[in-house]
Amino acid sequence: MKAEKQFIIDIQSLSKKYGDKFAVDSLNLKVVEGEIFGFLGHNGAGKTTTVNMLTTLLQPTSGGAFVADFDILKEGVEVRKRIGYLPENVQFYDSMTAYENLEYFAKLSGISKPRNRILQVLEFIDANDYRDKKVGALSKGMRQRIGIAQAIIHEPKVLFLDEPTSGLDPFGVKQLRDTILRLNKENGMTIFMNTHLLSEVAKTCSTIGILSHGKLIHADSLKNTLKRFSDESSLEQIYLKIEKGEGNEK
Amino acid sequence: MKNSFTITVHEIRSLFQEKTFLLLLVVFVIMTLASTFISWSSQNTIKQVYNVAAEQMRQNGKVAPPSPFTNFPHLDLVKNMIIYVILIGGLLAIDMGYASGMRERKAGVVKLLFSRPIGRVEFLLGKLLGVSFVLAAIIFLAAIINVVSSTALVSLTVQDIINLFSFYGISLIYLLGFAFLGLSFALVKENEVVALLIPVIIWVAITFVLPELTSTLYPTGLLNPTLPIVNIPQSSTLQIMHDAVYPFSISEYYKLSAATILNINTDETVTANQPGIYYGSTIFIFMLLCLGASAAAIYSFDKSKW
Repeated sequence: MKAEKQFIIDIQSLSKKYGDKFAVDSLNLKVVEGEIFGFLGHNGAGKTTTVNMLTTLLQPTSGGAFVADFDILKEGVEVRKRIGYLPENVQFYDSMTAYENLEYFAKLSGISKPRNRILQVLEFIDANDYRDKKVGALSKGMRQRIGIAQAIIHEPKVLFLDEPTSGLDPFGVKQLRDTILRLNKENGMTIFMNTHLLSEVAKTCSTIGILSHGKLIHADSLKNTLKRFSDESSLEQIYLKIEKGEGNEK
Repeated sequence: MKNSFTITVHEIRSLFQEKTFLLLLVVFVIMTLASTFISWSSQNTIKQVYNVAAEQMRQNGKVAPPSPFTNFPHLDLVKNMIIYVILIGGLLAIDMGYASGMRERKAGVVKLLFSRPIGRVEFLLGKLLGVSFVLAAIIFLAAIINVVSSTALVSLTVQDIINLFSFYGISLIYLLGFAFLGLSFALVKENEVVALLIPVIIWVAITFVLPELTSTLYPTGLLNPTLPIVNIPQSSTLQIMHDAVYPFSISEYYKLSAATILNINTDETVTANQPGIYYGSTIFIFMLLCLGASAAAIYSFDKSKW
């Protein structure tokens, strides 16, 4: 069973259970290629668990998903060839420079001679100045940019970002937002972004999904969502309304 | 396989940035450099003591028996290395394995690593090869140091050199077991201290506790790499304890193998009971079991946790 062509992510009844508790409960979701998808939810809603399963880091309890037309359960290596991933609070080998870290991860992504690509990516994210600095000495914002660099170094089709703005100052948030938009516009990269920063969703995402207690309670384009809740003055109010279960029919 | 090679290179480079590893390595190399001189000095002391005693006997009008210390085997000069391998080498190997298994967790890059197209087996293979390569290089360096330092004091034959390299070969197999053990617990144990403590406890048991329960039944010392001179004291309790514990006394097997290879024992009481290959095979099986533990560990390694 293959995912329909236009859906680059096709999640089918995906569940993850820890003991008696479902972290993700029968999640069904499709993401169209080229979208910036904002995956919203409160802390502990199951967003990171979902991304862990989609990136094949975590085995689902039941259900499955296709990412870039490959089954996360049976074709993990093929999935991982086509995705980039930026975890929350990204870390590196601190004793190595930014360049050395990128070189290592690029080689593990199948790029045998990554020098030119590393320079290209560092240029893209405007981080050339940090190239030869030990990552341990970099600020959170700089590390986050190197984090983006490692995630896109192999030109993935889908980029998974887990709370990418967490801990960044307003300037860092703006830089990251610009990078995400450029990646989507210039490279056609599909972005799947876990976040609870609603202001960023409004400025970045084309489609949103809202997860609450492991269940998807809303999934639609941002435009349709804003239209449906036209009485609400902000996305925050819409989010809270949907969370409460008001007008959340999918 | 290509990814394993990338990880191996990374492992080798990273190991030489580990302070504990470097400290233990320096101690091991210093002791290797000193070992030949220490043995040579001991031999000279023994000879001088004999000469003094013989002179006193002659002055008292007695005939001194011929010196039994004139023909030390050439490789007697390196016998201290057996203990250094067991003590310093064992700890060094555990530290290498632990550092290797813990590296991604400590750096917080497990998710970055496993979101790439590498499999668990490739990852483990890269780590195992990295640790094995560095350990082999250390052992080779020790062998070269011993060849050079021994040659300065005695003229080694080709057979001596072959025996010396064989000794280091069996030492490498022995140490690889501990390195794999350190790696295994670093991969599976959530608590970093416990992950280091368990292989160290196993090392203590193998190095001190089991020999205490077996070799001290012999009149030879706990750590001495010498074969028993006389039979086990006649006691059914001691005999039962010995029979129960001895099969697990890996360090005893290593000492016996090493001593036999270096030809530093003349009494073959034990090796006559068990063929020499038996002891070597047991060390190899120990290494394979530790390798198996690493394989089991990587399959239970939680990629999404760290």
